Amino acid sequence: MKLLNKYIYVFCMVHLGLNMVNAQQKGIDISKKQSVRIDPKNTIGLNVSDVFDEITFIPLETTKESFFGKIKRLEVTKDRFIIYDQDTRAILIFDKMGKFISKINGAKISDDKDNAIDEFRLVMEDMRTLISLQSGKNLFTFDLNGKLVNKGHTKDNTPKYDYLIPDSSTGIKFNKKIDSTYFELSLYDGGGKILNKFFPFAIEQILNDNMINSGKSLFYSGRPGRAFYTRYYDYNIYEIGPDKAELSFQITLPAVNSLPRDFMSNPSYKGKKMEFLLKNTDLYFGIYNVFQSGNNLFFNLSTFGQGKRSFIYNLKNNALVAVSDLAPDHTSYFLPVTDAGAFDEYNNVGFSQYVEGYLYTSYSSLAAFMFKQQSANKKPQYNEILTRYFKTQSKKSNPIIVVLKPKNG
Amino acid sequence: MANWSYHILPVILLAVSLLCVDFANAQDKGTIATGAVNGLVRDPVRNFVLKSATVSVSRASKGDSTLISYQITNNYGEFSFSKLPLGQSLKLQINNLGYQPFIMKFTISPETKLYQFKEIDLVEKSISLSEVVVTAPPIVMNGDTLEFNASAFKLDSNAVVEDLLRKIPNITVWGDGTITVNGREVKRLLVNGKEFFGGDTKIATENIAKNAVEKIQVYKTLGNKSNPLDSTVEMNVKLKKGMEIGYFGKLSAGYGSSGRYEADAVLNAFSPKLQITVAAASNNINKLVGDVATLSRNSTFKGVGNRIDYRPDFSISGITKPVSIGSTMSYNFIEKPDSFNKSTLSINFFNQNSKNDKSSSSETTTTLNLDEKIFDQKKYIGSSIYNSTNFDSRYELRKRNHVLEISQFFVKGVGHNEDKNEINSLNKDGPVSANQSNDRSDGKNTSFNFSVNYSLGEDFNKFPKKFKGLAVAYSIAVDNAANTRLTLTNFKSFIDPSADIKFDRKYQTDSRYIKHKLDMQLLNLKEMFFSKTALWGFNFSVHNSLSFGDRKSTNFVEDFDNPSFTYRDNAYLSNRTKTNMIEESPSFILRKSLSRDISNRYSKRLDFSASASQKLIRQIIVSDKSFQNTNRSYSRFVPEVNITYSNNQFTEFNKRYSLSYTTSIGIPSLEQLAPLIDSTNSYYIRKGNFRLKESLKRMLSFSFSHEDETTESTLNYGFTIAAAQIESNIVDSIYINNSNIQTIYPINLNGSRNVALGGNIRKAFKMSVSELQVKLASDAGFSRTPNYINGTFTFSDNLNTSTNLSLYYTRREYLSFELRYALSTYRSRQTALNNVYDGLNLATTFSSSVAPAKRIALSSDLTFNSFSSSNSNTISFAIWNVSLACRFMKGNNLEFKFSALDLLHQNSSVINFGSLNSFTIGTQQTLQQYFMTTISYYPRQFGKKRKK
Repeated sequence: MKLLNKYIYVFCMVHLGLNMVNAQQKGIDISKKQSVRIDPKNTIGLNVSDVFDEITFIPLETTKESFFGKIKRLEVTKDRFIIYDQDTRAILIFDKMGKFISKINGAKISDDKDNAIDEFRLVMEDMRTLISLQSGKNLFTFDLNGKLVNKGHTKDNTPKYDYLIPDSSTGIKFNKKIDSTYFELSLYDGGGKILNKFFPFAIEQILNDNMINSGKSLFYSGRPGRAFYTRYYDYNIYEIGPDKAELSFQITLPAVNSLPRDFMSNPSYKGKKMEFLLKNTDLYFGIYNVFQSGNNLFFNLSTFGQGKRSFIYNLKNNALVAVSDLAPDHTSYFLPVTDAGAFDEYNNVGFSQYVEGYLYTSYSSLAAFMFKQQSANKKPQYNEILTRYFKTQSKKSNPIIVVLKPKNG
Repeated sequence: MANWSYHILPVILLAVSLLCVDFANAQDKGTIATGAVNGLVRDPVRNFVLKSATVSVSRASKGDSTLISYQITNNYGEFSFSKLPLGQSLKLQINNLGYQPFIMKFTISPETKLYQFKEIDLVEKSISLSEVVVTAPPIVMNGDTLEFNASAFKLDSNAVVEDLLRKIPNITVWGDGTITVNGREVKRLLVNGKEFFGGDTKIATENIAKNAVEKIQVYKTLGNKSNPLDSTVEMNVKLKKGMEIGYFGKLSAGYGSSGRYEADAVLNAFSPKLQITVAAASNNINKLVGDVATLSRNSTFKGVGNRIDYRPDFSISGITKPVSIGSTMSYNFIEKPDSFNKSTLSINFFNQNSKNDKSSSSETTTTLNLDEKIFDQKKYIGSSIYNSTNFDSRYELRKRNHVLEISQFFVKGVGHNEDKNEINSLNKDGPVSANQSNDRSDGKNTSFNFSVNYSLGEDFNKFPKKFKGLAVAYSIAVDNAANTRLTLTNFKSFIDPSADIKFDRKYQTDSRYIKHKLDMQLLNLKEMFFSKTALWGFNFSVHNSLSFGDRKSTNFVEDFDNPSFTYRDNAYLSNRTKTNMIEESPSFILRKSLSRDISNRYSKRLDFSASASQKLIRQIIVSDKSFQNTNRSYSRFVPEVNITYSNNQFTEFNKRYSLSYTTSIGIPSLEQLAPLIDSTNSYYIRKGNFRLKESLKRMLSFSFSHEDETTESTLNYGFTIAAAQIESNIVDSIYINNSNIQTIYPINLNGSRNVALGGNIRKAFKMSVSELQVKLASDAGFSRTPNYINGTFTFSDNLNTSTNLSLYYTRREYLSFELRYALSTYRSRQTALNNVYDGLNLATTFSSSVAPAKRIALSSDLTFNSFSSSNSNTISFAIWNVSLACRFMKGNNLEFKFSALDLLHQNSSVINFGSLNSFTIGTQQTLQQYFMTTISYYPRQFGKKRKK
């Protein structure tokens, strides 16, 4: 039910008009595609130290000012964590040790309290990383200490992109109509000039249909200026850049878990996709949260069922590991690296970020204290930070950030 | 005051009983449970631990496979049990979907007190399942649903669902039928996903054979999206395939001393879509019932028939002989209904013919002023026959955001009454007056009501629209009544012989009442006119209620004329009236909700609503008597404010506070404005007052509840307080003359107030094989009513309290004790006259039920009653009922029961109550000692009968 609520929410958020036709696409380079066969029921277990070289827990400081709900969006810079919390409608800035720096209170800066801020993006200005956020018709810019740098009208500023490829000035917009044709993706340079457009689609085909995904569809691929892209009701992972779109991974699932081939084209599914997926809970209906680190491909599969959802696939030895089955060991102080299997934070979001070879996730203090209690018999030797955290904090404290460096193998 | 020594005896009885049980327990087991066991569950092939595997520990000694405890493996695949018996053979069973079960016997050494399984490897279920011997696991975690497999619990072949639930650790079945799981109340119990015979849990838990059950499913339905822990618990009894069809019931007949008898017949039948009950009952032991559901609830296979809502009532006046027959039916057009897709028809029929004979003698003391009191000595004998028929039906259709309800009810009553009253009034100097009256009446009334409700809510599967929804309700009520009455009255005044009156009067009254009512609500209209964010978060709705009432009544009164020996028309009392009432009430409702949800920490919510409503009433009375004619209008502003605050601290508690302010008006009736005074009622003459205006009641109420969300030793409690003030309340101004004739004038007076308080607390302590449940509920009401007595202004203050404490102890299925204290008090005071009446009723009950052998049940119910008041001696008596029941036949279908009721022969039902300026004490005819033998047969069948 929780899952359903989330998906209905996502469905509403992804509003009408979004998306696409699952037809064969022209102009997509398939020469380097890698076929990946996975059976979600056939996973193996590994210790966290088998997958990650480094595991760091960073409790976020809890003060009256910094108290927040959960991390809806995390951005990581050289020396800051920037967090968007929907519960308090605030952007919180912590240093990389978890010390609270500042808070941008959405309700305070907004002219309209009920329509405060909705997330944020990072922009580069004068060699500085700044936080840019929109509220109504106003566009605010703050520095990484939470200090207001600029307040302007949205019209005065550069256009707002749906996604900005890290390490580049390329911005991406979804579902734009260009020369009478809709494209799922259109790419622009820093000056707003169109660079390329991919995946054309006929808007009539998706109107009044249930287009469901599990959140974002663009993820940094680790290669400068390029991003992974996944599509509705599709098991392919594309890599896009200003010059081209490539099919990188073609994932094949067992028939019992796969969508009917004509799921997008057969009119009998139109407007009934949600109903169909809720009835057929063995099916996986999409891919999200894709990151690649060396030979390890991290990804999540969308489903309304109880099956495992988050995986690590080793491109070299074809081993498939479910993130929820990773066994904590001494390198993680016997604490799980995600809350998968116990709470819903990881299952709903997956890894938040992949930056400079490090994956980021988080879980609540409620989960952390439960894990501590459950692992007490292993007599873990916590580091100074965790010792202080468990001694001075409680299950009601702020979440902790988990930083993971995947092994290269 | 009450004789407290009486009431301590049950406590001593309980203490002795518990000591005996404890001793028996010690003898029985000889061990104290202190052992522990732990382990880790893994899939060795795939190299990961299994989270959420179900692990159970049960006894493995011969003939005892009781489930002791169960757990779900934690995030590390580990389990750890404590408080297990030492030195006894135990069984560990582990189940995980997709894996073969792991079963192993073990014994915890008394020396080490610990058994470590270390690593347990589960083997994946191969495709060729037939080769594997499948043992049903007691518990399986299936997604978010906890499932208990019935076949894994070894119980008597005649066990029912309740016996199964009692075997499951962490599940408590309360004395009143409430079920809690880890202290949290099961809000709904379903059978195969549907309500079972009206949703009363006991009908399901005490009838359905455990052998018909495949599994018990416990799951949560989510209330708050941001709080995975904020949810309500539901339970579903999943029947085995082929068991979705069946019947059960009870046929019972008993006969006893003094001609006492009772007979009950209840038969329930069900199929996947249809549920039908047919019931009949008759007795002369004051077992009263008003519907089929009560009969069904008290005719369960497991039930011992000691419930408060259907047992011989020793406290009521007279002997009642009801004969009842009824049936209920419900049909689900959709086999698996839910909140968004439901189509259900239910029909109820109930007919009761009831004969009642009663008599009483009492004395009422009335205070006239500081020095003067009047005493009425009354004797009463009466008999009545009443036949009532109820027929109602309801159809409910739910389809996504549409809800349609169509319902009707029809009630018909035919009655005959005969009453004889003798009243002698005295003051301190001797008799002042005497009155004898004989009444005979016959009446017939019918009521018919039809209503249609439709509501259209928001469709959450579609994109939000500006129009949020509406609700429309229409109802029509038609009432007809026809009564005839013959009254003979003879009033004699010893002070003023001229006041003597004698009547022989006949009445014929006919009335017809039709009322149409139309309610309309347009909900959350803001977005129709403003943006979503406008108006500072306030939303508004409009509501209109309009009704038309039309009452016609005809009274034809005749007096016996001695000279002519005929009845002649009484021109004063014979009358025709027509009353039209139009009520219109438009309301504007403003709402705002504030919430603060912090994920995994807390969810706080404040809901505010204020309603501005104008109540407009037009009352038109047209009568043959011109002084009764009136055309009155009332218009009042009746605002309402509600504020609710809830604070849900995850894993700790959920507190809810509610504050509301309401206003309502009371308009004077024709009987208060301009009654026709019937002088046959010699002692009470009710006059009218045409200057009466409407009263306005303002009420402020507050409630608080605390729901524990911890998983161990939960404690839930709550309380309410409501205070009201009535402006221009319609109260009495009483003049009492020397012959004790009271002339009562209704007048408007300010100063009426009342306060009501209530609280409850509940806690259960579950031991390994026994359980103690503690419940305390208490309420108190205070009212202050201004009035005049013989021209002296006085306040009548009344204080009533009631406290119920119950301690209920059960040990396995063969022993239960209950100690109940029910204390009620009243205190009445007239401020100007400075007189106080108070009284106290205390009932202490010790109930016990023992099953010395499998098919024998011995029950005893001992109640000590004390009635005391400031003006009389304490009356104490005890009622002791004992019964012995034996079951026969393979399926325990036949029961012989011998009951001895009021064994001590002490019941003398006491009259003891106070009113504004008087109190009454006396005795009345009641049910007294009898012995009865009852034979009951329980027909039951789950699934189709197998052909031999």
